[in-house]
Amino acid sequence: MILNPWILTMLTGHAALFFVFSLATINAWWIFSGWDFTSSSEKQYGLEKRTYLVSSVMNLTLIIQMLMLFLLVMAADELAKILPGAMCATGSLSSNKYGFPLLMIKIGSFFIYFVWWVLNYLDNQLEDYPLVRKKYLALVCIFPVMISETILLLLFAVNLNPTVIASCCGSIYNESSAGLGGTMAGSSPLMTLTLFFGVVSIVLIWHMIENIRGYRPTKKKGGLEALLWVFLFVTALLTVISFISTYIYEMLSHKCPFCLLKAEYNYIGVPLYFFLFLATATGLTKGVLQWMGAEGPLGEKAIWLRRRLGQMSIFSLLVYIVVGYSPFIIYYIRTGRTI
Amino acid sequence: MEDPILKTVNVTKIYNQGKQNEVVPVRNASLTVEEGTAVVLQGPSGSGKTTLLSMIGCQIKPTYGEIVVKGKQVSKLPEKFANLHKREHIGFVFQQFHLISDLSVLDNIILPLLPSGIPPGERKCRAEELLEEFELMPRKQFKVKDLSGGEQQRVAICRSLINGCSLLLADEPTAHLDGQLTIEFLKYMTHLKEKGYTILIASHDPAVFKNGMVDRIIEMNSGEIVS
Amino acid sequence: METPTQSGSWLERQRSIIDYSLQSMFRRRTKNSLILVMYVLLIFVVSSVFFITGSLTVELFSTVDELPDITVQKLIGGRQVVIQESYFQAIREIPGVEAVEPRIWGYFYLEELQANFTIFGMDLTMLEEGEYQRIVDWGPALKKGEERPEFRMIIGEGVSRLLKAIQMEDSFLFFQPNWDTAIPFGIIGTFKSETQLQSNDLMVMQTEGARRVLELKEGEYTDLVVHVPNPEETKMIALKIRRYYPELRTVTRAQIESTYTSAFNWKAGFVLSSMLVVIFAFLVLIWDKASGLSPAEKKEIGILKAIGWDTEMILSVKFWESFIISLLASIFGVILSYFYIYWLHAPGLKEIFIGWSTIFPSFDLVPHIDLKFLLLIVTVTVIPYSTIAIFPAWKAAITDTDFILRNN
Repeated sequence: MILNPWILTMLTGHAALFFVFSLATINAWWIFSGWDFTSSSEKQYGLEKRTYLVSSVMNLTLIIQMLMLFLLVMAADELAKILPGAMCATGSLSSNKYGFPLLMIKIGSFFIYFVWWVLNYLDNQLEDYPLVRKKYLALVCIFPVMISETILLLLFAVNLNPTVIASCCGSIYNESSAGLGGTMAGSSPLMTLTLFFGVVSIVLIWHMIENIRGYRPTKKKGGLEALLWVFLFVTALLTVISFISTYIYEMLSHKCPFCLLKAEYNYIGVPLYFFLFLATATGLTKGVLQWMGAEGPLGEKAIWLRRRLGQMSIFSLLVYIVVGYSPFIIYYIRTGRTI
Repeated sequence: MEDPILKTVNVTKIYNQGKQNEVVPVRNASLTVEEGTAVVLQGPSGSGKTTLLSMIGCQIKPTYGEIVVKGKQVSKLPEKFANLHKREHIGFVFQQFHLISDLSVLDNIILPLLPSGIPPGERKCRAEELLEEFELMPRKQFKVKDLSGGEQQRVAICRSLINGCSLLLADEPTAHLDGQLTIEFLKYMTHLKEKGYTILIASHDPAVFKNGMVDRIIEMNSGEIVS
Repeated sequence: METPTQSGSWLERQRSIIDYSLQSMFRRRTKNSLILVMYVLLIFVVSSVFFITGSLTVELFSTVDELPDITVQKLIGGRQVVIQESYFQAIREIPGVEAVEPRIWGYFYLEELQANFTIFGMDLTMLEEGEYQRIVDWGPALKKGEERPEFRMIIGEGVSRLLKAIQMEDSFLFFQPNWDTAIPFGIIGTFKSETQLQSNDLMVMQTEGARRVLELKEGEYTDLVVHVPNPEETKMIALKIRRYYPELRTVTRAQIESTYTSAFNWKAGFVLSSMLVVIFAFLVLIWDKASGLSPAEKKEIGILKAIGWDTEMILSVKFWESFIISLLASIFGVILSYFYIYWLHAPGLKEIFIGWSTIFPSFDLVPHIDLKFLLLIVTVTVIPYSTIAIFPAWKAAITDTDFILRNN
């Protein structure tokens, strides 16, 4: 354990997050177990009021989680200065075995909160709150994710040891090194690019087909769409490591998904990841909405919402591509060759 | 025949249900009000007029029974949607006016429009029209606390009308007015009725329910509708 | 079932709410300015600590980068003793070693000022010519030094300030009771403030002069510095040196680096942990102010709900209120602490961090601000504030209308 400003800040922020989320979970449980729409009792009225508390708390949770995700990467980057051998965030995150799982669970929980947040929004548009019990049950079920995140964060913080030499991104995202990072960087840019743009084309074609009259959305298609977006997210990260980063750093050997968030590279990673996350979150949610297969007025509202989400995801995806690939295009125009 | 603008069926309100201090201010109240009429709910104080009016105005929820305003069952709606319906269709003038005293007349009047996201220009335009109509134009920028009682009531009326509602509810509107102001108030009500508003007034002031513009009187006593 | 529609756009709605929130905060300006003042203070304290640690880290790491790869010392009976010239050759022959450099350094305690100076001996021509020339402010005393070249030195800013107080800014007289005569040194320059963390208490002098002051014989040195070009090999070479000469001790850069940083981090961590208590106390104070709804406010919310505002609207108003107040507090707090640290040089706070030498009379902090710090500040202050503010906001927003109706 190191008493470092960044670690303490992360713990403070997470404590706040954990506190509000627990508050939401307890209230969600009360609402789930006591909800009776037909009743006009004081109790039901009180529960209705609690739904507002849960909604506000979840809005806050989503915002805090977004900040915390950012903070984790920044903190890891700063910690690299203290951990011998670590050059950037990669080094700190891999300095003990909890770093990367923590990052992954943070990314995952962000998407989960986002889906829940949209469902909550959808449900609140309808007078009889058709999803009310389901969504609060879902919230209670998400709580273990939050608990595991908390445990991982604590383990990560406690096991940060400045006397153990960490590896730097040069050695982790190095083709010759074993492990996930090495495999990710070692995969040829051509292959990852083909995969990524393959998925992007499927997504775009899918989007166009949906707008054709007579298209019948089914539950299965919705689930498939959600999975497709998850896959797109992964391939997009792969291309960042194996292709995009080389053109941002303009160094063949420097392949790191974190360094591009730094001031040295004009914070280009910030818009890049923001739009990637937004695209994935909205696209994923769109798939999940269809997979739920709502009917009646809820279904109508869901169709409207899915259209909005679809537009947003495609737009963000395109922005991501423009932001991510312009360094390559600029480099190509300037030098007439690839790296 | 057209649907009535307002209909209540067996509306009952119980406070502290099942407890020692249970109170039932309104019991089994059923009434209908046709579009464009002026109706007075009459009865002594404590007869449940205000509670019934509040339930019709979506201020509080009935414990039992149905309330239909403008074709919508409002009694079971969650607060958010009840408020939305209230915002669009119902104007309410409170006995105490309930204005925000350190805001200007204009700012008070536009308050109900803020949640709807109507642009500032249009808000001002609508408010000024009403100020003109109720002869408050010179008082536009005054703080409400600097106005007389009669003026405050007119501000309260303007505020209740600004959302473009068609049903106007007024709770004991003349309780704080002297004879001259009462006459003035009734003159405004007559004017509104001519413009097509449906008006429901809770009052025990004879000056009100004996006025010529009133089409019907509904009498209440100890929480029940007598006639 | 028909779904309700909102006339007007979402954006317009938020704008109206912001307008209203501003107006409402202004109307309750006494209460809100009190909250603001406390909030600014909180952010001021937090960002001061972050700024100062940030600046010090930057200085610290610029030092650490220039540390030798391996330092070799001789130990007898667990004490460090002088090391003889004979070791160089042997160490230089170890494969992977680029160069070995003997060093002369030590401390000089000046009783009159109760100050401890670090003396470092080197060939000063290296500083006078070449790339390191720019880190020194060369003084007018250069000529005097040239007359007696072995007795010239360059001093750190802290030393310079102390010596100025005893009117010895141009030359300094070294004396120990067991010496026959005092040794006068000409001061030819002062190190610039960028290097202050390392150079503050430093006196860098010509090798021969240093030998006299530190009482080292010809052929004796304080320690050796080994240059190893490949960092991967450092550890192995250090091991070899110890195996060949068990009486020698090796210290690698990585070891020094983590000792340095952990010492520094402990300090920062200690300050921060005590700061967490302060944050908490501040938050409780602010919360107490912000959560107490006066009857007038409660009535106002009741009225708003009675005229058709829903709970979400009130929550939005509360959200914007805390957003605006957080924004204002962040801006003022950060500017204030920037001023406190870089103009006023952090009186009070600096002493906590710079406590590893008896002097360090003054210390100019080099501004180092990264956007990251804003993220830190927001996370430590605004997030906890919004977290605790959410409960009173909700309590206010669910205010029932019937209390204003019944309250006739």
